[in-house]
Amino acid sequence: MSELVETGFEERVISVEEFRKAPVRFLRAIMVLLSMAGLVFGGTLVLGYLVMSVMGVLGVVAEMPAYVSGYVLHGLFVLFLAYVMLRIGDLLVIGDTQAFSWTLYANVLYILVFLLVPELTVYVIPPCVLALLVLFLPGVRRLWWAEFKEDMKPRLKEMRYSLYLVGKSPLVVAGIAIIVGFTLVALFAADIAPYGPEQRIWEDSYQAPNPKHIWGTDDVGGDIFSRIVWGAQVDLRISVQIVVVALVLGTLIGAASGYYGGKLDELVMRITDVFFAFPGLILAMAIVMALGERSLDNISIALMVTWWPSYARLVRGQVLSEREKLYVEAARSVGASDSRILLFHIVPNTIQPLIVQATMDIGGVLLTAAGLSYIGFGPKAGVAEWGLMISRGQDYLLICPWISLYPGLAILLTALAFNLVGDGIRDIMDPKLRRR
Amino acid sequence: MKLRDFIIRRILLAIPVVFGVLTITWFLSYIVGDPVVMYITERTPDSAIPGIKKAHGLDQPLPVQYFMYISNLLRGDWGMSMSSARDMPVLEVIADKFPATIELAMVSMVFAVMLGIPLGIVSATRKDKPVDHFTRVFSLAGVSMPIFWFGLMLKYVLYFQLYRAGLPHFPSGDRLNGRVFDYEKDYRVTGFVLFDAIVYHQNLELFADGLMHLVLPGFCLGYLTLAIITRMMRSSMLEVLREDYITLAKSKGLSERVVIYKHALRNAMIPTVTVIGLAFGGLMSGAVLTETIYNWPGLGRWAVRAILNSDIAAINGFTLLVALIFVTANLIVDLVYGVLDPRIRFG
Repeated sequence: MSELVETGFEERVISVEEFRKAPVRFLRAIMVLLSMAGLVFGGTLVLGYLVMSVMGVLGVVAEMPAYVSGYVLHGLFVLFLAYVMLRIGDLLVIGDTQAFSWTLYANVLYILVFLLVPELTVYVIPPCVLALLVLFLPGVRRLWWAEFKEDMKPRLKEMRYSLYLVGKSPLVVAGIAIIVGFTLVALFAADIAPYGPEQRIWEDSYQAPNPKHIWGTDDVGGDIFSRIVWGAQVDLRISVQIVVVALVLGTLIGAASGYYGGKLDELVMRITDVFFAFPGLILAMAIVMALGERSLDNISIALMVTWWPSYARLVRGQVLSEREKLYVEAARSVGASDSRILLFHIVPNTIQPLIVQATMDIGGVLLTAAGLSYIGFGPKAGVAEWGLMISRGQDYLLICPWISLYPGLAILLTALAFNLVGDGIRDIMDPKLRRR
Repeated sequence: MKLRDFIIRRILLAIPVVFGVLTITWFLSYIVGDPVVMYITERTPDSAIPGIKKAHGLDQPLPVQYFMYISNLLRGDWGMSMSSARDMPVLEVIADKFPATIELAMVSMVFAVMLGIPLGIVSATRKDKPVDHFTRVFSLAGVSMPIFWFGLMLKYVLYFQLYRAGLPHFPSGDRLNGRVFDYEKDYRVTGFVLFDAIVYHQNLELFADGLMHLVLPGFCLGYLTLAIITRMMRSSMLEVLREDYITLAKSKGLSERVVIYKHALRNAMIPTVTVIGLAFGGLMSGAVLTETIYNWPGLGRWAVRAILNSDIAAINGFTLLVALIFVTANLIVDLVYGVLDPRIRFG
């Protein structure tokens, strides 16, 4: 009983034995199990994609099945979570509050990710729920909850204040409402749209807006309203996907370049210079052509390649200014590794301008992707995609303006919403503007 | 450091950038298609292809081809473009189409600067008044506007609806009214319609017609830049107006006008000038879309056609040119800095 663990609160010095109660060990077992499952599933998703793309290049398989190509990002994220779960196992047993809160986050995120991978939902979610239940057993909860709440208090307060500021600005609220609206439309497209995305009703071609087709029909009898609703799925997914990948890529490269400096930094900066000298649209066009096939997937790859340098620049600048600060020195003096300092200490402190930039870029990326699709680098004719619908309508502009009008409005509204929110967040996060 | 040394240093720094652009486009275009198609037609017999490859050095290893490509570029041989009416050397096509694009870009730039800077100033000095709200929404809409859709809608309303109503209307595309003026044959001197009309022909009708044709595409292309400039001007003006020296100037009893235009504007211009320089590259991107919509015989439309036809030499030529424009614009921006802010030493 001489061995004691300091929990940070004087009155709560608890013996080690008390920590090693069965529920915590059980929790650890579940976490290890989940992490193994995550490593296997995530690894399969990522490796499967790599193998299939190599086979695709070699011409062994003609087309990649949807269940392989669709889940790469999920796979990467699951791998990351699995790693976290593996790392916190032992910390749980010695009663580290941080480990408990990370268990909470990791399990919630796991559930969210695996909800998006329907094939695996059944296997992963029950253990996650079980882990959450154990986490909130009175005995276990006592170990961390009070401290967790204490930790969260300033953040909650900060968040509540931010929400209050958001509520005060009608433009931001409007932007958020539009984004939420479009997201809901995209998620429930099947229930909202009266017709299918590529359904044609030949006898109804060229109809002006009327009760049966509220926004009219196009030249082959596609219902404009339904196609815009289905298009929301395509356009939102692709723009978010592009920005997320470019953001992660740019952050990693920029952070490394700013932190290590020297030759690496010089090289990265020259490369970004070159990318900046290209107009984005032109480079993306050339990349799509180089990838061989005009399709949405290639547009998104091309835009990921063109977009990362701006994030790299942004993160590099931030890292340069954070690098010399005291907390970095402190982390280094307790023996944290470079990658740990970079990813867990510096990058979280550079995240605010990144969020603003990324939010506004979703609008910009949407515009560029739709533009590429408009000049003919996108999906094949007939696919419900906003840019393509506009280009379809331009041949009939003079007799049926509605074919182009409504998809364009959808693009404008979505991009505007993201810009409004980005603009608003910047004002809210800017401490100079905040004080007043 | 002297100005001359500074310029030389900046040009030297720009070389690796241009070089990188070259390398990337060459690499990309090599994936796009076999370069031998540049030199053959449908009627070329298969047996002749090895000979053609040999004649143009296409049977050499890639690094050798790369150096040949660079040395050809330096000697002014940018290859042949086959996506114009007839096969023409890329440099000639560029010389032919460049003025049209630059004229369009200049007009939209002038429009954006002339409108954007005053709007930004007004918005900043009347912060949170109705004018400010209107300007903010106007400029946010500009940033969010799909340029190709905007072009179509402008055309629909200001050309077609006015035309149908029998009112005076804007033309729907092209540089000049083809039925009245044959520019290429009769009037072309420098390639800039407005410039030629005034300086060489003193033909006011030609000038007016050219100007009318520039309004819609110019506005369409310039709106994004206008929005960016307005936003930048507003925020930098707001920042400057908070400075102590502005308070001092006001407390000396100087009029609002003098404070804003003499004291604040000059400093507020510095970030705006950067944005203007960067926006010039964006204009080239936008020109691709605008020219497609308005049937503008410029570089953008040519580039789209070149890419869709795998016209490798044309793609390379166009990207290189754009990179050069961009680098030059940045250099000019840096020089203007020095004029605006004498504290900035070139170094």
